[in-house]
Amino acid sequence: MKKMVAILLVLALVCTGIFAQGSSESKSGSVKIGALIRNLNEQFVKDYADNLRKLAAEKGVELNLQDAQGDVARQLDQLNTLITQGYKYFVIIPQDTSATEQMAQQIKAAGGGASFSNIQPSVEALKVGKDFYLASSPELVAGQYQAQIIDEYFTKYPAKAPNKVLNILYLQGQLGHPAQISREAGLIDTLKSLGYTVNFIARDTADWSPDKAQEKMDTWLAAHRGKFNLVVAQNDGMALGAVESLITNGLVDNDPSDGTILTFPVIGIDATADALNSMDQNKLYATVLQDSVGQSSTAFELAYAMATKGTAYGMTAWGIAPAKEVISEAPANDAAVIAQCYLVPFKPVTKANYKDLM
Amino acid sequence: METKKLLSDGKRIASQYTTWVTFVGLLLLLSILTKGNALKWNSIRNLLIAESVRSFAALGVGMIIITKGIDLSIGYVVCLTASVAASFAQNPDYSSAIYAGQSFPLFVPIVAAVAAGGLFGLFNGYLIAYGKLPPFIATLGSMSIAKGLQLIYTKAAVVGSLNQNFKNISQGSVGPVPNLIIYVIIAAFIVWVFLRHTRQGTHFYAIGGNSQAARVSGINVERDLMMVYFYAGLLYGIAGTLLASRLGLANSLTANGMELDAIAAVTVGGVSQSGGVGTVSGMMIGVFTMGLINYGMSFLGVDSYYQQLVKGFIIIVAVYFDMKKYARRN
Amino acid sequence: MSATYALEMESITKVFPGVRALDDVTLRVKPGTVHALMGENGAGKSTLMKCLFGIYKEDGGTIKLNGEVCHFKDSHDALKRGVSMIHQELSNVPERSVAQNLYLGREPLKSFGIIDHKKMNEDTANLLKRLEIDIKPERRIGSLSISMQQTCEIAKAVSYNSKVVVMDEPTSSLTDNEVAHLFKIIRQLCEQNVAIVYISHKMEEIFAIADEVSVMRDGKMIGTYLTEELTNDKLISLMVGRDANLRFPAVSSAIGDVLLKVENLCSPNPRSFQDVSFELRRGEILGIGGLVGAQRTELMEAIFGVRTTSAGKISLKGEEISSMSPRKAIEHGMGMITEDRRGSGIFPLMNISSNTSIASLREYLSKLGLLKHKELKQASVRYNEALRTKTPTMETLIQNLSGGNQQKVIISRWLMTLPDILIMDEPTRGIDVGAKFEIYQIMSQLAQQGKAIIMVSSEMPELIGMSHRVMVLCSGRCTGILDKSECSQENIMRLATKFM
Repeated sequence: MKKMVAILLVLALVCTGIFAQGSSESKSGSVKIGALIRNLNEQFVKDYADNLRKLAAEKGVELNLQDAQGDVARQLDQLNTLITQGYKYFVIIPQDTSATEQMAQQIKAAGGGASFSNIQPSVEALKVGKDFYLASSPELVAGQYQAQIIDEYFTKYPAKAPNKVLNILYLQGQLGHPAQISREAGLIDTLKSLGYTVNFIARDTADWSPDKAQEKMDTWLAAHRGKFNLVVAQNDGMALGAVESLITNGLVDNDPSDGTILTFPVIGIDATADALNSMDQNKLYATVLQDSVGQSSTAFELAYAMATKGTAYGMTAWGIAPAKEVISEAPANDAAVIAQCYLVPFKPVTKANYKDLM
Repeated sequence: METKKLLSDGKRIASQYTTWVTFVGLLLLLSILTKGNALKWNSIRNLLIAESVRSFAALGVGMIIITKGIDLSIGYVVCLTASVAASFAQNPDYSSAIYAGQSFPLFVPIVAAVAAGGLFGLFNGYLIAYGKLPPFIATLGSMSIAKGLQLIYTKAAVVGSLNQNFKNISQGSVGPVPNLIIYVIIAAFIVWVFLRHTRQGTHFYAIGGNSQAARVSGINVERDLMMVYFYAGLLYGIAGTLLASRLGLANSLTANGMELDAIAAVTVGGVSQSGGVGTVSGMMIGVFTMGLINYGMSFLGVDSYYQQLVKGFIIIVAVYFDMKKYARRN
Repeated sequence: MSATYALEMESITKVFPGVRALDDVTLRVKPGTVHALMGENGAGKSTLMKCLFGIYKEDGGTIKLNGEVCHFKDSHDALKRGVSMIHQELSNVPERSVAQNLYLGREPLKSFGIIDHKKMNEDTANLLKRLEIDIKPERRIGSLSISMQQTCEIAKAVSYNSKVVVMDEPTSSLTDNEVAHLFKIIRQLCEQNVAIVYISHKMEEIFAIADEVSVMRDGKMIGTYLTEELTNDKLISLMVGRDANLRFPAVSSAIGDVLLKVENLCSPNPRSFQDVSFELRRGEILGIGGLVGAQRTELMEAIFGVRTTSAGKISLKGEEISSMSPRKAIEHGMGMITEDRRGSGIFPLMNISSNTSIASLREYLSKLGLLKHKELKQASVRYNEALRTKTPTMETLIQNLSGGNQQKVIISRWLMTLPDILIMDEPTRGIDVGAKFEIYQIMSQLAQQGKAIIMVSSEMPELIGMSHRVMVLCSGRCTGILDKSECSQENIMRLATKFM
């Protein structure tokens, strides 16, 4: 038996050798782009990936898309694999900001470049070389837009927030996630600058998930009924979970004149199809569009330009020119790399414009 | 009677090598499918690096499963130890460092992480051996505790900006051989010596095979059980250190789900869930078989949804044969 | 017209690679009789029965039930068609009631698939009454004694209208009273024209109950005999193929000084053993007798430190040992062969060598604390060879050995620890006659070497034949210690039932 194993092993090695000899590394002609995507289970990421596939098909690009399934280590392994396979140019939704510098260095060592979306790369990652770009929407802005929507609502109905005091039930995404941190900061800072007193009656993570959000809300409604006037969630999934909870707990005034039949406005981020439907039924009050098509198209055009022309520095991608002025959120807060930042705008989605997206 | 003996011996030998046969078969398949590309040195090096940290977790949980236990807390304990290690290795000038402004010698993060892992192991072991809690439940509880501690310790933030010396622990290499691979070889050797050549290692098999008989044979079942979780904890500590060093960061998502990967790997490697059976070579082959599947599918560009599907089936098939092999004897 | 035979297995052959496990075996069982199937372990009895129940597919021959050729898919199929098996091990669901166990998988239903508990309990009550079994159908089956549980299994077989009932060692965990009750039920079944295939190693039982005896050896049928034609010795020689006129070896050892002294030992459980005192001397074999439930095993486990005690003293070679543990016991030269070989004896998935050496590892460590594998193996071989353990190699898994050989491995394990005192709890249970005799010889030799042995046994002849003295327990208390001269079945029985 041992002999058999040994023979098999030897056979395997021999085959490997033969095949390795016979294969040739580069396929001439086609443009190869690798896509490293953090987690296809999320709606935004999936939409982003779908658009990438579409664009690649249109341009005849050989696209290799890898799903890290939420694991930094897996994403690094996938990068290694693709580099070994001869991929040089990448579109990346990183799993974690802190790993981006390491990824950029590996890509640079292979003589390539990358554009990062959705999760911000670090300043150091962009400083690795001019072929590393940000093609994303600063998360702070999403929070800021939420704050603006809130401001508009309570300016219209000041009685609902006496003395500009906001008592918020706040549903966070996965703790430690850059979007969770920045969206929260953007919201709080903007509300405060608009003169509101911000009280978090309850604030906890629901891990981006609608059912966890609903459970959390059910608990909160039992504990804090009557003590709050606003529900904010860091994505639409959780916002819709909150909407369900409010309805089952009877917090409905059935008066759609303020834009929602719920007693309190609920605000999300992402503008998913479900969210827009909910708005159409006067349930969800508003959301913020994180533009998956915009981000992926920008990132793809940058990677494509690098792969075909050698560089994308200074070009206009998907109609967006490189940023000129620094903003407060990394990495676009560093003048040294600002020319590598393509800021894809968020869009507030309210009663006024949601039908355009449906 | 003779025939039965012959038959079962034959089966036993065949089943002993099924893990090897599977591994080699997969290797062949992959080399054919990728025309040899997947098996160049660079690719193999990638594969070995990718599986290195999981190897430590697998060695730990492999020993535990030999004693007929289970450990669901691996993922979050490794996450915690990675965070502890990372927190002592942050650049002192990094403003959001946990110990901002302080720098520690290189041994501090390593010792701290291994100690944290060891303490968790002792905690698990105590609950299971002396508290008589079922391992499934005890480690389910400590999994949540580890996760909570990690979030509290890091305030749910990413522990990043690690110093280069610390990163070099995992990212460096000796000649063409990456450090990580060397660590795995050393660890596997030590565990092998321990399981094969020491009294306590032998006792683990006895306890897993028949704890009542082990007790009657004068084995201190409680102490040995506690120790197996302790040793596994130390390995998780090392795993955490290496992972943080390799990724250059630790956050609350680090190593999530590693328990399932590790348990699946050792099961595929022939460590029986019925206890008392398993070898270090099997565990390592299991890890690399699962790695090969992961790596091969990712190399071939198989959609991640299908990857999950394939992995699931492989685990089920492995456990199915395992149960057939051992559970229905007699 | 009914067939002459209830069950006919004609020229059954079963070949495993390399060996003919069954070679042209023919077994014919008449309705309304008890047909004993005898043979040493490995003779092919269980293979034959496995062919009957469809677990193995025979390579040649035919099986007829009431004259009709048939082949069962599995034991459930067999049960439905009137052939049932009462196993050595009980196969009931302990947490469920007697009725629920009897009707498991075929519960009488009302509409909508609701179980008709009333009907089920009534049917069970009628059945039990017919068999003169005094159990309430609602009783949780796990709360019954082993023998009662076994009787329930027989009732289950009857409830399927079984025409053939195979009993595999049905008395291995029964006391004499319980055996008598079982025999009563068996005779009742015979009156109802049921054919019984009775597999047992116990000669006394065969002569008490069987009408005919078929003897197998090495996969062949040696012959079928009327019980009247046979004597004990003749039957043994038929089975082992050699004369076995000596059932017990002479135990002629010199009794020395006191090795073990137990004084007023009490269990924390008031229903377990209380206030037990005795002494064990060098070279002595002390038998422990009593009925099932007399707490013999519990007492032994307490002496060995597996169970805790609440009062009393245990002294080894004059030294009092406080809070005994198996570890301390072993260090002080004690060894224990447990009653439940599978539950607390063997490590089924470990090989012979490891099974032998597991209790002695500390004596085989190198300076670095590593195990000396070579010497361990040599020692294992030595002890197993001395006991004539039959095994293909030392690497064979112990679970692949026969019961007798497993027992020898476990004795080897303890001999390797160089003990002075060996506790043997039911050392010959489930072991065939040949191996039994060898184990008696081993015990006798050990006693001659000056070791002391405590032997718990439910088999009277064994107790009387092997022991220098017999201590009898009843309901956890010592009701007397009999010297060899006073040892008789009657005396032991009288003490064993003192509080009944």
